[in-house]
Amino acid sequence: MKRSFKLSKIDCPACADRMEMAVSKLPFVENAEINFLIKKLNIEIAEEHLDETVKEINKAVSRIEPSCKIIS
Amino acid sequence: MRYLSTLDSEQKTLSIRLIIALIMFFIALSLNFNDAVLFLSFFIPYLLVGYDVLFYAFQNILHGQWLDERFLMSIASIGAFALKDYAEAFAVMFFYQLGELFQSIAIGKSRKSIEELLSLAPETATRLINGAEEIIKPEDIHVGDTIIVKPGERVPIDGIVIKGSTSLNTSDITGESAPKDVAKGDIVYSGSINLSGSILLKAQSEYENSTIAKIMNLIENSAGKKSKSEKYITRFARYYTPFVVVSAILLSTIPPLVLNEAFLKWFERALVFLVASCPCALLISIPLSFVKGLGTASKHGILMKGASELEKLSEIDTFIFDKTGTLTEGSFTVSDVHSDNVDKDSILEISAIAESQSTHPIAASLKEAYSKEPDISRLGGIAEHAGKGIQATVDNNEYFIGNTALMELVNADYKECSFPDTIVHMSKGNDYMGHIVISDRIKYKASSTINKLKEKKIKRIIMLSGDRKPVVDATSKAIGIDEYYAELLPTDKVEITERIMQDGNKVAFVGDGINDAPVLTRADVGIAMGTLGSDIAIEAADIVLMDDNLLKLPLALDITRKTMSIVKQNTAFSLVFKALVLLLGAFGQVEMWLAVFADVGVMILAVLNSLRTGNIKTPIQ
Repeated sequence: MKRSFKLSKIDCPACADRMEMAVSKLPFVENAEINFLIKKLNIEIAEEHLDETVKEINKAVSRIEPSCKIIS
Repeated sequence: MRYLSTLDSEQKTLSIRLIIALIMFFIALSLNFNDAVLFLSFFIPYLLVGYDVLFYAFQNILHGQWLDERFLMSIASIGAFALKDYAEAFAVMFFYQLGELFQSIAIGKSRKSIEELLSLAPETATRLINGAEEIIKPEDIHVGDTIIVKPGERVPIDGIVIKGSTSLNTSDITGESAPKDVAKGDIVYSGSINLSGSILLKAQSEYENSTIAKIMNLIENSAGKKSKSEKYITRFARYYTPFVVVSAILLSTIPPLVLNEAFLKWFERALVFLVASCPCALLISIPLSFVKGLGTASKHGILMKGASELEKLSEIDTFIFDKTGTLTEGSFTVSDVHSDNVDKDSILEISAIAESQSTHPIAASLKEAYSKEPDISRLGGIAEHAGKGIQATVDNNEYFIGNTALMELVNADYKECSFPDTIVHMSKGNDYMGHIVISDRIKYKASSTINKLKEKKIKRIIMLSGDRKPVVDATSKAIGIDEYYAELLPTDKVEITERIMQDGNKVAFVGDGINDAPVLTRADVGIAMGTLGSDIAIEAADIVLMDDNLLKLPLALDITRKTMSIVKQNTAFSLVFKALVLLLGAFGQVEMWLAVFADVGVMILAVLNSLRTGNIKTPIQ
């Protein structure tokens, strides 16, 4: 299943690139892609793992940009 | 203060912290304290600007991800404190945060131009059910629903006007500024703004297939796709950071051992080296330039599918045009009827009856020329001769209507026509009756477009057409195109395009999307024009012109070339400058605050330069 999330803050393209790598390394996540300009994260994921993964994504992105999290 | 009001809350807080800390810093500089107080007088403003940087750097060390800019800045500034260089320690943190602020503002500004485009999507629609109005989301509209669009509102869905008339501002989707008048029976496209009267529409598509949804999709995706140079830079950054860190470690250890010099001196140089290396400034200006370029193009009704398409168009040196519908209007009119023995009106009458069932543009022109309603009851059977014409029974007589190949097939003794137009021959059995001359108008901007392309150093311009050679020859002369291929089948067009590409040319193919989708896909850059509502064209093409103004082509070329030249300037400028500072830093010629300042300075210059992408003069009319 494809899902896309809006991220709260990414101010540097290099960080977006690092976040993309970090998210794609998470279990169950496939084809992670961050659209830096519209602050959108697209992933493919099995529905049953969605909730736990959202938490993991928040952790992973906030390690790179502390005030960054999924807002919708 | 007015400046502050344009910032978001995070940016505001940071600005205020920077200002207060800077004042405290100057007070500390002007007063002569002794040791401990002196340290504190710098350390307090330092903490004020940098506490979050220090905190997150520390937190990330615990997470095992210590190698980022915050870590570099923390180490560098703490190192400066250790060396008792308090002012420098403050300056490092100050300039780093100043850079972060500028970066955040610059990114925010360029995001706005994308967000403005995305805000063109209608948010609500008014549906009429049993005489009652109901506000719904555009996504909930079904085909066949009746939708009211009031003055000032945005058309939420593609549809046909069933009641009322108005003028529409279509500039957001076509870039064309003149309002468009519509009345009952006309098709309107979502995304246009209703200027004067209320209209009722019958929805013709679901929202996700509507024009505006397709445009939104295109914009979102175009912002996501990275260009060749962008990919190159990101890959570069992945190797760059580890390289810099290893170099810094070597710099702080090898020379002191080999030269037997003070470790601290080289440690400081290594810190400067690290600080100066920060790559974000370089990385930021490139996507910024592309966004600006894509945004500028969209504003003019030129939709590019992404940064890499933009980059490719800037390198094009050959244009191939489809003739009909692209360089010509594609709307045919009967200009003459030639016959030795039959009167012109009965030729038109019979052809109109025979072609009454066809939707082909040529058939439409025949019906139009007859001007009366053809009497269909006189029509018997119709049979098609593919690629040649038709055979029809009218008043129990057998007529053949088509090209010379059809006349040869039935052994009619036809006459060639000397006119450079489309010729429709006609015979009753094998008895030749005469022919109808049908002409297509050249678009009035066609020749000035070709001239402009030539001025812009496009070295080859070629026209392809399925039409007869005399027609194509006359059209190409009238427009000023030197090279053409006539009497082609759709597959021939692909073959010729491939051959021209094999000669080493970078080829853009321009078509209207009607049966040239394979060529649009095959060419280096496929440009579809006047394609509002045509799915195939939008899918097959790399660049879509929302209206059929040919002058958008040289404009698109200008925008892409300017964008690419700015990208190249920024890359070269940042790389050279970075290399210089790194080198000087390694040999102790640059102080640390200067290294950070240089980084911010380069970023600001590069960002300002990339904002220039939007300033394209547009002499379209």
